[in-house]
Amino acid sequence: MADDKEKHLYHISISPHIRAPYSTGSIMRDVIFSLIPILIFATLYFGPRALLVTVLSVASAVLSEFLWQKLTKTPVTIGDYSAAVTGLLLAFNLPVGVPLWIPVIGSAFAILIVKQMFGGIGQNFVNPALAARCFLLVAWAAPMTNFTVDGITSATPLGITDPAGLPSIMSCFLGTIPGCIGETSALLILLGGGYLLARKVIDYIIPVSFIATTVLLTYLFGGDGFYQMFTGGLMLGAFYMATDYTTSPMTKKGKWIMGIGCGLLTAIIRRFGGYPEGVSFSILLMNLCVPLIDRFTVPKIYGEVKKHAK
Amino acid sequence: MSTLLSNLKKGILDENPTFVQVLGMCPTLAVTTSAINGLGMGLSVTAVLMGSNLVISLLRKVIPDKIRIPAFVVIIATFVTVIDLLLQAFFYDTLYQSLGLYIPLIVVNCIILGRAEAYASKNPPLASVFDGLGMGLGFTIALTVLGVIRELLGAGSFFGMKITPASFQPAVIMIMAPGGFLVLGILLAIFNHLRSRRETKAGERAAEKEE
Amino acid sequence: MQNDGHKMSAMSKVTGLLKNDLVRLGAILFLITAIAGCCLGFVYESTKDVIADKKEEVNQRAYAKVLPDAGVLTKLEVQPDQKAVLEVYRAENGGVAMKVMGTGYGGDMEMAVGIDADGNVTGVSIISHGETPGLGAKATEADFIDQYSGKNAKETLTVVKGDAAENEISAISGATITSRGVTEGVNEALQYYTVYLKEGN
Repeated sequence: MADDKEKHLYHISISPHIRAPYSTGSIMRDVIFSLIPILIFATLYFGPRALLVTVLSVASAVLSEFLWQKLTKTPVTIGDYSAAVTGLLLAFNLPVGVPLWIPVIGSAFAILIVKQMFGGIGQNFVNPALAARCFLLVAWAAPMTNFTVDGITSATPLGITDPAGLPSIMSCFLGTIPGCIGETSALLILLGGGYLLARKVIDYIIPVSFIATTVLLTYLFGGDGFYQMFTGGLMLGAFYMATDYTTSPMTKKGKWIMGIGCGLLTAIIRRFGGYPEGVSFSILLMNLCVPLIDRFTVPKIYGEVKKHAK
Repeated sequence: MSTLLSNLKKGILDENPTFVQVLGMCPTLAVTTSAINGLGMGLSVTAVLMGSNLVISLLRKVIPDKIRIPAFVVIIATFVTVIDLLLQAFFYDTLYQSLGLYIPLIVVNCIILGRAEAYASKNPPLASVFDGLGMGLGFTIALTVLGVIRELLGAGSFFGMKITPASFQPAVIMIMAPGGFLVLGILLAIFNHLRSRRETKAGERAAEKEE
Repeated sequence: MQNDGHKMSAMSKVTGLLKNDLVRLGAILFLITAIAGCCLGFVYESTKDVIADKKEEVNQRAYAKVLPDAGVLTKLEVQPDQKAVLEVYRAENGGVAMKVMGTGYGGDMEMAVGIDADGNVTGVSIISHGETPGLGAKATEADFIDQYSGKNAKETLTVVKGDAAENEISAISGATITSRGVTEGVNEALQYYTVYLKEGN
């Protein structure tokens, strides 16, 4: 039994427990596999620079983790691919035109500060890739909000206020719109998300509740909810970022709460806030609430009998 | 003499107000957006510390125990106001503008009341002055280091002089609140790591001596 | 102990009072605060004039910057009920210099505005502000503040993101509120000038 510890992730869930042949490595490999179509699309649509940014981001993440673990004389875990996934997801949240040092610094920040300084895998208190993205956004606002495609600079569709300038819904669905590297193609994200659902890597609850809440509230606030579903980082965030194991609740009820909370915050920030995009901040804020959510959704202990049962 | 020197060393290293005692965090985070601000605040606090420690130590047998806190606060507040007026008179354009509201806030800086209570009210004047000097210097060094780092990363300059190449884009977050917490946290970790290594080495040496 | 009640001497009454904790504590505290108050008063008096001079010097320097070659400045009375216009000076060469207030991200900002005899802005300078370094604090840089020079007092300026037209000011990227605050103050100055100060009024 002891030698299993190295290979198998202790999958945190509520008892009763059943063993299954998963490990951190196999889960991460599934995630990477599901993201590859998006990467290919981004390279074709945004150009080779998208690939370069992604490669740099992944390399920086893996190298940072390797160096940290060597320096602190702890076992090197880059083989579990979690650093690579962080690097990949961060790159997908960056505009293609960012200076090349941005993904490098961002990934290093995500791995060194958000993940390793707080205790390594399973101990991060917020999503490392998103935290890094927000760090980059506040530190270097100009390069991070510059979306240039084919030399034409524009804002994300969320930032365009003139209705005549909005791209068609088909473009948004397919992904031929300005935006961050990995967030534009709703189609490919749905395919990837579907794969992860089929492989039981993620649960349907958070993506469904997150997206549904955002769409409904956007309608309530007077916007086009369906259209907004396919723009910005909502799809990518709902399927890949909000579902991170360490920073999402353990129980089904908790997951509903998190999804709804994320949706609520996203809709509010998009409608009333100063930023056109609310997904990153809403996920981070809900990450912070997860310990609280877990405390309040402690399930009944198996076998517990109702007080009044006769 | 050795007490005086050990007081100095204590304030700068072993009981550094910022990195060991973690006191006075509010001005530490708020004021260290540039090196000169950190230095200026540190020196102001040092002046107040030395003055208030001296007076409180001189009066330590006269101030009754029951009213020591109000008495200390009055004395400290007087020194702070004097410093405030002097800064307005002689450093109006520079330090006074940038330190602004944080000068009167020195009154509630825990370090000063803490030293008055823990040391000056129980020790002779000269030792108290050196205690104030030591703590003040420790605080000043901490704030200046913090300010230098944040200014360099967040604005590309060193004490107001731009020293980074034009291609360097400063990370604005560093001169905002998150940057302050990040740099302070990392410095705290480094400082205490080095301290604990020194202590284990000293412990090993002491153990060796006993053999 | 014999206690001849009604014949208790005045002296022992006083000593009795002094031994009373409350009175003793109160007296010592009073003494400390009184001495502290005296010291403070002394320092205040000694520095009062120096500080006033310094403030005036900073003022004048700001006016000289926004209204060059103005000659002697004569201070004018500010019209009543002005919340944003703080000081007004008429210059020898016919122009005016004003100190106005605007609300920025970090609170009130004080600015000096210079307007020449033809009603064109000769310069704006920020005297004091509480804006964020690297963002709103960039309002003091030439790139931003020089935009106001040349605008005519007839115009009311608006803040836009990106390129600015005739009556517009280009906001600092990431510091729209600061940009608006400065513009607000300048507009107040322009309006005051048009109503009260233009030649012919």
